[in-house]
Amino acid sequence: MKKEPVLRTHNLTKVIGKKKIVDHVDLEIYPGEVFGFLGPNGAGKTSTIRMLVGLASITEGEVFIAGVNLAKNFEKAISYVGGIVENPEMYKFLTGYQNLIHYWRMCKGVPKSRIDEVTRLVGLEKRINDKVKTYSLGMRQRLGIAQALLHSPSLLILDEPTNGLDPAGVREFRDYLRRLAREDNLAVMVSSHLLAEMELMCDRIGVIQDGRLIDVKEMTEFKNEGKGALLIDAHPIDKVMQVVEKFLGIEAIEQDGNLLVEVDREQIPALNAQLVKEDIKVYAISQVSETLEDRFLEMTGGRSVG
Amino acid sequence: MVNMLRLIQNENMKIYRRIGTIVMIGLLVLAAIGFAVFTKYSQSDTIFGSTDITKGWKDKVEKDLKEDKKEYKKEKNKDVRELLKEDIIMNQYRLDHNIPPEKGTVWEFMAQTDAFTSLIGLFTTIVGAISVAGEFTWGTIKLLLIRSASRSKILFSKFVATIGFAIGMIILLFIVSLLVGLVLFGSDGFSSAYLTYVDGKVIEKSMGLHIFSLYGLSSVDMLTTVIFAFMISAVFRSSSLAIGLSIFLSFVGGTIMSFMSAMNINWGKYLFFANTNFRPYITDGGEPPFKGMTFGFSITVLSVYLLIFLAISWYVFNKRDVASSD
Ligand SMILES: Nc1ncnc2c1ncn2[C@@H]1O[C@H](COP(=O)(O)OP(=O)(O)OP(=O)(O)O)[C@@H](O)[C@H]1O
Ligand SMILES: [Mg+2]
Repeated sequence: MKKEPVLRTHNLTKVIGKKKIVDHVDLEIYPGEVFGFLGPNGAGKTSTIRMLVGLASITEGEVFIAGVNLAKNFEKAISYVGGIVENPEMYKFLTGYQNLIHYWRMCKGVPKSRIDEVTRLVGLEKRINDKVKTYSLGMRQRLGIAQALLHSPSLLILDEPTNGLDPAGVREFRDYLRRLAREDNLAVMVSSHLLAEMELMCDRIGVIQDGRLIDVKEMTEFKNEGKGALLIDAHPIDKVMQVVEKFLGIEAIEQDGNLLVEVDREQIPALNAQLVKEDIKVYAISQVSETLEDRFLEMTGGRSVG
Repeated sequence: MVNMLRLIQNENMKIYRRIGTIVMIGLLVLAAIGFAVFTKYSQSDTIFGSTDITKGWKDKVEKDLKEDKKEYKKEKNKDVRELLKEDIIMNQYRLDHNIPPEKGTVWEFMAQTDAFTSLIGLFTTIVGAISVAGEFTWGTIKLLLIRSASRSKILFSKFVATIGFAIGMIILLFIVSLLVGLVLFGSDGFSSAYLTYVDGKVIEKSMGLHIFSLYGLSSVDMLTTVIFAFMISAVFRSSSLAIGLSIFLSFVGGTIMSFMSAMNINWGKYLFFANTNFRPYITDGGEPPFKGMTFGFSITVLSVYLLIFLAISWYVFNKRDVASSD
């Protein structure tokens, strides 16, 4: 079925001075999906997001949120959006609860009980009545997400949201985003420069480089593309090397007692069958996550920021 | 789309939940109390603060009246004669209607506390400057502006809350000085009226209202400084710059103005700080600094300035991008 996009941008452009920081970006984000907005430092992720939430003016192009033109009807369009831009800065002299009250007063038709609901959702019940200045970075992130969800938006825009979260926090956050997208049919846009993170979180990713959106793909599509490095943990290693090199016709490298080899994804099952047939004990065959990272670097040229 | 009252409620929460604000309120209360105690005990040997005077005021007023009448007969200068005549009529009115002068009463003390409006002005400048620029320094502006409330509404709510703070402080000053005054100077003369002399006639006014109008007059200056600070903080997004510049200007402004006034540089009357003192027009508070200045002139000049300040604040706050460096 064809869904209407929650967010649609058309030729979105930002020029500061003479520099095109965001260059004719066309994006569509649909309900129920987590969209990764990926790019190296200085690519223009934050600049794009700033325009999407009305913090920065749009030089050229248009933004539609739930079909409403952001520039023409800001108050209506933005009412569908919840977001965090860069760090979730809160009023430190207020308690978490008072911060939420503050944002609650700024949305229309939301019952007060919703505050407790989002507090529970982000697991902050115990500390909600403490001053925000006593919060850890991770707790502030949680409060940031709570304020973004307060008015039950249809589009959640998060700029580098896992900044400062510990691994358990990242994981929890990831599961949580996925659940929101799936169960509440929320459209989520997450920016990051960490591909590994996106890999587990997103359904689709768009890669931005020097202000231009250079690629938008389904996550699976993105993964399957091209060759990837495969790490084979099998025994005995000498025999494995022989079999693999014969099967693929290319050189394999030994690394920490495992075998590292470049292979098309499609060939993996056959290779595995071959190994088993040769009486080799296969403990694990894993795709090295660097493959994605490599692809990302390949696409963005792996250059330094500029 | 969002209720204005709720936005103002938010701004109030952000003002009164800060320790700094509580300290300012405390300082104002302390200052008013301290001033009252100081006035009472440092001048107890003069008529001020001694309660006898309020009891035997009739004798004193009668004595003054006789002397004034004698002087009036001798005096040649027309202006002085006019002043003496005013005194005579007022004193006669006091005796006829049994209205004691405010000397040594709580009211005389209260009439002096209007000097504290400049303290309130300073505090309000700080509150107003932080209200706008603080959001930028705290980084909270990024969450504040991505709501279903236009920037104009948010700025307006900040303005209203700031003015509300000033009004609240003025009421607080009034109440605290009245209470302390009553305790220290007693309630003699409390119910007496304030007398003014207009065109040969004596008019009775409520004392409380008279004090309030004194506060109000002093607040014109305050309002100007606050709106100026508001503009600077919206344009430069720095509360310290806004506070510093406003204080600097209100000091230096006075000096520049007296200089220009002394040198007879008449276009000085178009400067905004030449038009913030309304006392010369309303009470007997001296001459305006430049020739040809009238109440209407000052009101017009001041309004034009304030409108320009507000328009600049509004325009910049609405148009400018919120960059990461903020
Ligand atoms: N106010 C500004 N004036 C001039 N240049 C700016 C301004 N804001 C951003 N830029 C430039 O725009 C480019 C994109 O910046 P942006 O903050 O959008 O990058 P980003 O993708 O969010 O990077 P990061 O991963 O580091 O957060 C950078 O080259 C930056 O220097
Ligand atoms: Mg960024």
